[in-house]
Amino acid sequence: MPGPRSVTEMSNDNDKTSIDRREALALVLALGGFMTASNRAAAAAPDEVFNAIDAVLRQTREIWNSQDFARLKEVWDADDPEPWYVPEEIETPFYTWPQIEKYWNPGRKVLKGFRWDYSNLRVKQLAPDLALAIFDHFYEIELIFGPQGPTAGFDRVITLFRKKPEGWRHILYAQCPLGPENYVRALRKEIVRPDFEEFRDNL
Amino acid sequence: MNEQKEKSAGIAATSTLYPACDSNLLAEIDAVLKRTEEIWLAQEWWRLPEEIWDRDDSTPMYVAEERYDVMIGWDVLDEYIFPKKKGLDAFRWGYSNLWVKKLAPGVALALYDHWFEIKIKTPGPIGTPRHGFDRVLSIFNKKPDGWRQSLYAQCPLGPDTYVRAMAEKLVQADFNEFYDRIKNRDINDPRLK
Repeated sequence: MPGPRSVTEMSNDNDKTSIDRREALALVLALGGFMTASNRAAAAAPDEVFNAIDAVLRQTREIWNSQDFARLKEVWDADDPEPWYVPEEIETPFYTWPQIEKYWNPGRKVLKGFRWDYSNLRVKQLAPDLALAIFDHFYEIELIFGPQGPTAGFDRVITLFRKKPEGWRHILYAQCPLGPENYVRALRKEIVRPDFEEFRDNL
Repeated sequence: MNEQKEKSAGIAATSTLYPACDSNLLAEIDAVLKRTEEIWLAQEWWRLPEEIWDRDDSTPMYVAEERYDVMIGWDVLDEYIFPKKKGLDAFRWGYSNLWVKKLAPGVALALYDHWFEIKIKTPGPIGTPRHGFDRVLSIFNKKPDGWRQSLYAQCPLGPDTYVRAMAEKLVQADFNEFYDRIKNRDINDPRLK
Protein backbone atom coordinates (compact mmCIF):
# COMPACT_ATOMS: atom_id res chain seq x y z
CA MET A 1 0.00 0.00 0.00
CA PRO A 2 1.27 3.51 -0.71
CA GLY A 3 2.22 5.84 2.09
CA PRO A 4 0.00 8.33 3.88
CA ARG A 5 -1.24 11.33 1.94
CA SER A 6 -2.54 14.67 3.06
CA VAL A 7 -6.19 15.37 2.40
CA THR A 8 -5.59 19.01 1.74
CA GLU A 9 -3.00 18.09 -0.86
CA MET A 10 -5.70 16.26 -2.71
CA SER A 11 -8.22 19.09 -2.93
CA ASN A 12 -9.45 19.64 -6.43
CA ASP A 13 -8.38 23.14 -7.39
CA ASN A 14 -10.50 23.05 -10.52
CA ASP A 15 -13.73 22.98 -8.55
CA LYS A 16 -13.71 26.46 -7.07
CA THR A 17 -17.33 26.36 -5.92
CA SER A 18 -16.81 23.18 -3.97
CA ILE A 19 -13.54 24.44 -2.51
CA ASP A 20 -15.33 27.44 -1.12
CA ARG A 21 -17.96 25.20 0.31
CA ARG A 22 -15.44 22.83 1.82
CA GLU A 23 -13.44 25.68 3.28
CA ALA A 24 -16.61 27.10 4.79
CA LEU A 25 -17.46 23.76 6.36
CA ALA A 26 -13.91 23.27 7.59
CA LEU A 27 -14.08 26.72 9.16
CA VAL A 28 -17.36 25.90 10.89
CA LEU A 29 -15.87 22.72 12.33
CA ALA A 30 -12.62 24.43 13.25
CA LEU A 31 -14.55 27.13 15.09
CA GLY A 32 -16.30 24.37 16.95
CA GLY A 33 -12.91 23.02 18.01
CA PHE A 34 -13.30 19.74 16.17
CA MET A 35 -10.51 19.66 13.65
CA THR A 36 -7.14 18.73 15.05
CA ALA A 37 -3.99 17.33 13.60
CA SER A 38 -5.28 13.78 14.03
CA ASN A 39 -8.30 14.60 11.89
CA ARG A 40 -5.95 15.33 9.03
CA ALA A 41 -4.21 12.01 9.34
CA ALA A 42 -4.46 10.31 6.00
CA ALA A 43 -5.43 6.83 4.99
CA ALA A 44 -3.74 4.88 2.24
CA ALA A 45 -4.66 4.76 -1.42
CA PRO A 46 -2.88 5.47 -4.70
CA ASP A 47 -3.50 8.91 -6.19
CA GLU A 48 -5.59 7.51 -9.03
CA VAL A 49 -7.91 5.70 -6.61
CA PHE A 50 -8.27 8.79 -4.40
CA ASN A 51 -9.02 10.99 -7.41
CA ALA A 52 -11.51 8.50 -8.84
CA ILE A 53 -13.40 8.28 -5.53
CA ASP A 54 -13.35 12.07 -5.21
CA ALA A 55 -14.85 12.30 -8.70
CA VAL A 56 -17.66 9.90 -7.76
CA LEU A 57 -18.42 12.00 -4.69
CA ARG A 58 -18.50 15.17 -6.79
CA GLN A 59 -20.97 13.40 -9.07
CA THR A 60 -22.94 12.30 -6.01
CA ARG A 61 -23.10 15.92 -4.85
CA GLU A 62 -24.23 17.06 -8.28
CA ILE A 63 -27.06 14.49 -8.26
CA TRP A 64 -28.22 15.29 -4.72
CA ASN A 65 -28.20 18.99 -5.41
CA SER A 66 -30.10 18.55 -8.70
CA GLN A 67 -32.93 17.07 -6.55
CA ASP A 68 -33.18 14.20 -9.08
CA PHE A 69 -32.53 11.63 -6.36
CA ALA A 70 -33.52 8.60 -8.44
CA ARG A 71 -30.30 9.18 -10.39
CA LEU A 72 -28.25 8.28 -7.31
CA LYS A 73 -28.25 4.67 -8.48
CA GLU A 74 -25.83 5.88 -11.18
CA VAL A 75 -23.10 6.12 -8.51
CA TRP A 76 -23.94 2.75 -6.93
CA ASP A 77 -23.03 -0.79 -7.95
CA ALA A 78 -26.41 -1.91 -9.26
CA ASP A 79 -25.07 -5.47 -9.57
CA ASP A 80 -24.58 -5.79 -5.81
CA PRO A 81 -27.54 -7.81 -4.50
CA GLU A 82 -27.08 -6.44 -0.97
CA PRO A 83 -26.40 -2.71 -1.02
CA TRP A 84 -26.26 -1.31 2.51
CA TYR A 85 -27.40 2.15 3.55
CA VAL A 86 -27.29 3.39 7.15
CA PRO A 87 -29.14 6.73 7.38
CA GLU A 88 -28.94 8.83 10.52
CA GLU A 89 -32.73 9.13 10.77
CA ILE A 90 -33.68 5.46 10.21
CA GLU A 91 -33.23 2.90 13.00
CA THR A 92 -33.00 -0.23 10.85
CA PRO A 93 -30.54 0.19 7.98
CA PHE A 94 -31.59 -0.57 4.42
CA TYR A 95 -30.17 -3.65 2.71
CA THR A 96 -32.20 -4.10 -0.49
CA TRP A 97 -32.61 -2.09 -3.67
CA PRO A 98 -36.39 -1.62 -3.22
CA GLN A 99 -35.78 -0.09 0.25
CA ILE A 100 -33.08 2.25 -1.00
CA GLU A 101 -34.90 3.25 -4.17
CA LYS A 102 -38.07 4.03 -2.21
CA TYR A 103 -35.98 6.12 0.19
CA TRP A 104 -34.53 8.11 -2.70
CA ASN A 105 -37.77 8.32 -4.62
CA PRO A 106 -40.82 7.74 -2.39
CA GLY A 107 -43.26 8.42 -5.21
CA ARG A 108 -44.31 11.86 -4.05
CA LYS A 109 -42.39 15.02 -3.43
CA VAL A 110 -41.54 15.24 0.27
CA LEU A 111 -38.67 17.73 0.17
CA LYS A 112 -38.71 21.41 -0.67
CA GLY A 113 -34.97 21.22 -0.98
CA PHE A 114 -31.96 19.14 -0.02
CA ARG A 115 -28.33 20.23 -0.27
CA TRP A 116 -25.46 17.76 0.20
CA ASP A 117 -21.77 18.43 0.53
CA TYR A 118 -18.58 16.77 1.67
CA SER A 119 -15.01 17.61 2.63
CA ASN A 120 -11.92 16.15 4.26
CA LEU A 121 -11.94 12.98 2.18
CA ARG A 122 -9.73 10.09 3.20
CA VAL A 123 -9.50 6.91 1.13
CA LYS A 124 -8.09 3.49 1.98
CA GLN A 125 -7.79 0.72 -0.56
CA LEU A 126 -8.84 -2.59 0.98
CA ALA A 127 -8.41 -4.82 -2.09
CA PRO A 128 -7.69 -4.24 -5.79
CA ASP A 129 -11.40 -3.67 -6.46
CA LEU A 130 -12.47 -2.41 -3.02
CA ALA A 131 -11.96 0.97 -1.33
CA LEU A 132 -13.17 2.63 1.82
CA ALA A 133 -13.78 6.38 2.04
CA ILE A 134 -14.42 8.53 5.10
CA PHE A 135 -15.43 12.15 4.76
CA ASP A 136 -17.09 14.99 6.61
CA HIS A 137 -20.64 15.45 5.43
CA PHE A 138 -22.90 18.48 5.64
CA TYR A 139 -26.51 18.79 4.54
CA GLU A 140 -29.43 21.17 4.59
CA ILE A 141 -33.00 19.99 4.26
CA GLU A 142 -36.46 21.50 4.13
CA LEU A 143 -39.51 19.25 4.26
CA ILE A 144 -42.86 19.92 2.59
CA PHE A 145 -44.71 18.28 5.47
CA GLY A 146 -43.78 18.31 9.13
CA PRO A 147 -41.71 20.93 10.95
CA GLN A 148 -41.46 24.13 8.98
CA GLY A 149 -38.22 25.76 7.94
CA PRO A 150 -34.88 24.35 6.80
CA THR A 151 -32.52 22.51 9.13
CA ALA A 152 -28.92 21.47 8.70
CA GLY A 153 -26.88 18.53 9.90
CA PHE A 154 -23.31 17.28 9.91
CA ASP A 155 -21.67 13.93 10.44
CA ARG A 156 -18.94 11.63 9.24
CA VAL A 157 -19.82 9.30 6.37
CA ILE A 158 -18.24 5.92 5.66
CA THR A 159 -18.62 4.57 2.16
CA LEU A 160 -17.38 1.42 0.49
CA PHE A 161 -16.73 1.44 -3.23
CA ARG A 162 -16.43 -1.46 -5.67
CA LYS A 163 -14.35 -1.05 -8.84
CA LYS A 164 -16.55 -1.76 -11.86
CA PRO A 165 -15.73 -1.50 -15.59
CA GLU A 166 -17.48 1.89 -15.58
CA GLY A 167 -15.62 3.09 -12.48
CA TRP A 168 -15.87 3.02 -8.68
CA ARG A 169 -19.41 2.54 -7.37
CA HIS A 170 -20.93 2.64 -3.88
CA ILE A 171 -21.84 -0.59 -2.13
CA LEU A 172 -22.30 0.96 1.34
CA TYR A 173 -23.18 4.41 2.66
CA ALA A 174 -23.29 4.97 6.42
CA GLN A 175 -23.83 8.23 8.28
CA CYS A 176 -21.95 8.42 11.60
CA PRO A 177 -23.12 11.48 13.53
CA LEU A 178 -21.74 12.45 16.89
CA GLY A 179 -23.68 10.98 19.78
CA PRO A 180 -26.50 13.19 21.05
CA GLU A 181 -24.65 14.85 23.94
CA ASN A 182 -21.67 15.79 21.82
CA TYR A 183 -23.85 16.83 18.90
CA VAL A 184 -25.72 19.26 21.14
CA ARG A 185 -22.46 20.49 22.65
CA ALA A 186 -21.13 21.11 19.14
CA LEU A 187 -24.21 23.12 18.26
CA ARG A 188 -23.96 25.12 21.50
CA LYS A 189 -20.35 25.98 20.71
CA GLU A 190 -21.59 27.47 17.47
CA ILE A 191 -23.81 30.01 19.24
CA VAL A 192 -21.18 31.42 21.57
CA ARG A 193 -20.96 35.11 20.68
CA PRO A 194 -17.70 36.11 18.99
CA ASP A 195 -16.74 38.57 21.72
CA PHE A 196 -16.97 36.04 24.58
CA GLU A 197 -13.21 35.41 24.67
CA GLU A 198 -12.59 39.15 24.94
CA PHE A 199 -15.19 39.36 27.71
CA ARG A 200 -13.56 36.45 29.56
CA ASP A 201 -10.05 37.84 29.19
CA ASN A 202 -11.11 41.17 30.64
CA LEU A 203 -12.49 39.65 33.81
CA MET B 1 -32.85 -2.64 27.79
CA ASN B 2 -33.92 -5.49 25.53
CA GLU B 3 -30.38 -6.13 24.38
CA GLN B 4 -29.22 -6.59 27.94
CA LYS B 5 -32.04 -9.03 28.64
CA GLU B 6 -31.13 -10.98 25.52
CA LYS B 7 -27.49 -11.14 26.53
CA SER B 8 -28.23 -12.18 30.08
CA ALA B 9 -30.57 -14.87 28.75
CA GLY B 10 -27.70 -16.20 26.62
CA ILE B 11 -29.46 -15.66 23.31
CA ALA B 12 -27.02 -15.73 20.42
CA ALA B 13 -26.33 -12.40 18.82
CA THR B 14 -27.50 -13.48 15.40
CA SER B 15 -29.56 -11.27 13.16
CA THR B 16 -33.27 -10.93 13.70
CA LEU B 17 -33.74 -8.04 11.30
CA TYR B 18 -31.42 -8.68 8.40
CA PRO B 19 -31.36 -11.25 5.59
CA ALA B 20 -29.54 -14.53 5.96
CA CYS B 21 -25.80 -14.34 5.46
CA ASP B 22 -22.82 -16.71 5.28
CA SER B 23 -23.28 -18.77 8.45
CA ASN B 24 -19.60 -19.74 8.74
CA LEU B 25 -18.47 -16.14 8.41
CA LEU B 26 -21.18 -15.06 10.83
CA ALA B 27 -19.96 -17.54 13.44
CA GLU B 28 -16.32 -16.49 12.99
CA ILE B 29 -17.05 -12.77 13.31
CA ASP B 30 -19.45 -13.43 16.18
CA ALA B 31 -16.61 -15.17 18.01
CA VAL B 32 -14.43 -12.06 17.67
CA LEU B 33 -17.24 -9.84 18.97
CA LYS B 34 -17.88 -12.18 21.90
CA ARG B 35 -14.20 -11.90 22.78
CA THR B 36 -14.41 -8.12 22.41
CA GLU B 37 -17.34 -8.11 24.81
CA GLU B 38 -15.46 -10.27 27.31
CA ILE B 39 -12.47 -7.93 27.21
CA TRP B 40 -14.61 -4.83 27.71
CA LEU B 41 -16.57 -6.42 30.54
CA ALA B 42 -13.31 -7.39 32.25
CA GLN B 43 -12.24 -3.72 31.93
CA GLU B 44 -9.05 -4.98 30.29
CA TRP B 45 -9.23 -2.75 27.24
CA TRP B 46 -5.45 -2.75 26.82
CA ARG B 47 -5.91 -6.27 25.40
CA LEU B 48 -8.02 -4.97 22.51
CA PRO B 49 -5.23 -3.77 20.19
CA GLU B 50 -3.34 -7.08 20.36
CA GLU B 51 -6.21 -9.55 20.58
CA ILE B 52 -8.94 -7.94 18.45
CA TRP B 53 -7.30 -5.48 16.05
CA ASP B 54 -5.09 -6.18 13.06
CA ARG B 55 -1.75 -4.81 14.23
CA ASP B 56 -0.30 -5.38 10.76
CA ASP B 57 -2.65 -2.78 9.32
CA SER B 58 -0.80 0.53 9.48
CA THR B 59 -3.96 2.63 9.06
CA PRO B 60 -6.58 1.25 11.45
CA MET B 61 -9.61 3.55 11.73
CA TYR B 62 -11.87 4.35 14.67
CA VAL B 63 -14.95 6.58 14.39
CA ALA B 64 -16.11 7.31 17.95
CA GLU B 65 -19.51 8.78 18.75
CA GLU B 66 -17.99 11.25 21.21
CA ARG B 67 -15.19 12.58 19.01
CA TYR B 68 -15.57 14.44 15.75
CA ASP B 69 -12.07 13.53 14.67
CA VAL B 70 -11.75 10.21 12.92
CA MET B 71 -8.82 8.40 14.51
CA ILE B 72 -6.43 6.84 12.01
CA GLY B 73 -3.18 5.08 12.90
CA TRP B 74 -1.82 3.30 15.96
CA ASP B 75 -0.42 6.38 17.65
CA VAL B 76 -3.91 7.83 18.18
CA LEU B 77 -5.77 4.53 18.57
CA ASP B 78 -3.43 3.15 21.23
CA GLU B 79 -3.75 6.33 23.25
CA TYR B 80 -7.55 6.35 22.88
CA ILE B 81 -8.04 2.69 23.81
CA PHE B 82 -5.49 2.69 26.62
CA PRO B 83 -4.84 6.25 27.80
CA LYS B 84 -2.00 6.95 30.22
CA LYS B 85 -4.49 8.16 32.81
CA LYS B 86 -7.49 5.94 33.45
CA GLY B 87 -10.59 7.96 32.66
CA LEU B 88 -13.26 5.35 33.29
CA ASP B 89 -14.64 3.88 36.49
CA ALA B 90 -16.59 1.30 34.50
CA PHE B 91 -17.58 0.51 30.94
CA ARG B 92 -20.06 -2.12 29.78
CA TRP B 93 -20.26 -3.11 26.10
CA GLY B 94 -22.78 -5.33 24.33
CA TYR B 95 -23.98 -6.15 20.84
CA SER B 96 -26.80 -7.92 19.03
CA ASN B 97 -28.33 -8.37 15.61
CA LEU B 98 -25.09 -9.14 13.80
CA TRP B 99 -24.95 -9.24 10.03
CA VAL B 100 -21.84 -9.93 7.93
CA LYS B 101 -20.78 -9.64 4.31
CA LYS B 102 -17.66 -10.91 2.60
CA LEU B 103 -16.21 -7.98 0.66
CA ALA B 104 -13.08 -9.51 -0.88
CA PRO B 105 -10.76 -12.44 -0.16
CA GLY B 106 -9.76 -11.94 3.46
CA VAL B 107 -11.91 -8.83 4.01
CA ALA B 108 -15.32 -8.82 5.72
CA LEU B 109 -17.86 -6.21 6.78
CA ALA B 110 -19.94 -6.50 9.94
CA LEU B 111 -22.91 -4.42 11.03
CA TYR B 112 -24.49 -4.82 14.45
CA ASP B 113 -26.50 -3.06 17.10
CA HIS B 114 -24.35 -1.88 19.97
CA TRP B 115 -25.12 -0.63 23.46
CA PHE B 116 -22.90 0.60 26.22
CA GLU B 117 -22.99 1.89 29.76
CA ILE B 118 -20.26 4.13 30.99
CA LYS B 119 -19.17 5.75 34.23
CA ILE B 120 -16.55 8.39 33.69
CA LYS B 121 -14.04 8.89 36.47
CA THR B 122 -14.96 12.38 37.55
CA PRO B 123 -17.10 13.99 40.24
CA GLY B 124 -20.38 15.72 39.43
CA PRO B 125 -22.95 15.03 36.73
CA ILE B 126 -20.38 13.93 34.16
CA GLY B 127 -19.54 11.01 36.46
CA THR B 128 -23.12 9.75 36.58
CA PRO B 129 -23.50 6.43 34.71
CA ARG B 130 -25.00 6.80 31.24
CA HIS B 131 -26.29 4.50 28.57
CA GLY B 132 -25.87 4.75 24.81
CA PHE B 133 -26.84 2.80 21.72
CA ASP B 134 -25.95 2.90 18.06
CA ARG B 135 -25.15 0.82 15.01
CA VAL B 136 -21.51 -0.24 14.57
CA LEU B 137 -19.75 -0.95 11.30
CA SER B 138 -16.60 -3.03 11.54
CA ILE B 139 -14.22 -4.25 8.89
CA PHE B 140 -12.17 -7.35 9.58
CA ASN B 141 -9.06 -8.74 7.90
CA LYS B 142 -8.45 -12.48 7.83
CA LYS B 143 -5.13 -13.29 9.47
CA PRO B 144 -3.47 -16.65 10.19
CA ASP B 145 -4.82 -16.45 13.74
CA GLY B 146 -8.36 -15.41 12.75
CA TRP B 147 -10.30 -12.28 11.83
CA ARG B 148 -8.86 -9.02 13.08
CA GLN B 149 -10.51 -5.61 13.11
CA SER B 150 -9.28 -2.72 10.96
CA LEU B 151 -12.26 -0.34 11.24
CA TYR B 152 -14.65 0.36 14.09
CA ALA B 153 -17.25 3.03 13.40
CA GLN B 154 -20.12 3.99 15.68
CA CYS B 155 -23.14 5.18 13.70
CA PRO B 156 -25.64 6.65 16.17
CA LEU B 157 -28.99 7.95 15.09
CA GLY B 158 -29.05 11.67 14.42
CA PRO B 159 -29.87 13.78 17.48
CA ASP B 160 -33.61 14.28 16.88
CA THR B 161 -34.20 10.62 15.99
CA TYR B 162 -32.03 9.52 18.92
CA VAL B 163 -34.13 11.56 21.35
CA ARG B 164 -37.34 10.09 19.89
CA ALA B 165 -35.89 6.57 20.17
CA MET B 166 -34.98 7.19 23.82
CA ALA B 167 -38.50 8.50 24.50
CA GLU B 168 -39.91 5.33 22.90
CA LYS B 169 -37.75 3.20 25.21
CA LEU B 170 -39.24 4.96 28.25
CA VAL B 171 -42.81 3.88 27.43
CA GLN B 172 -43.94 1.52 30.18
CA ALA B 173 -44.49 -2.12 29.31
CA ASP B 174 -48.22 -2.04 29.95
CA PHE B 175 -48.98 0.95 27.73
CA ASN B 176 -50.34 -1.20 24.89
CA GLU B 177 -52.70 -2.94 27.28
CA PHE B 178 -53.84 0.48 28.54
CA TYR B 179 -54.24 1.67 24.96
CA ASP B 180 -56.30 -1.40 23.99
CA ARG B 181 -58.65 -0.75 26.89
CA ILE B 182 -59.09 2.85 25.78
CA LYS B 183 -59.72 1.84 22.18
CA ASN B 184 -62.30 -0.79 23.11
CA ARG B 185 -64.21 1.43 25.50
CA ASP B 186 -67.84 1.95 24.62
CA ILE B 187 -67.95 5.70 24.24
CA ASN B 188 -71.30 7.39 24.54
CA ASP B 189 -70.13 10.91 25.26
CA PRO B 190 -70.22 12.76 21.87
CA ARG B 191 -67.31 14.98 22.94
CA LEU B 192 -65.01 11.90 22.98
CA LYS B 193 -66.05 10.57 19.58
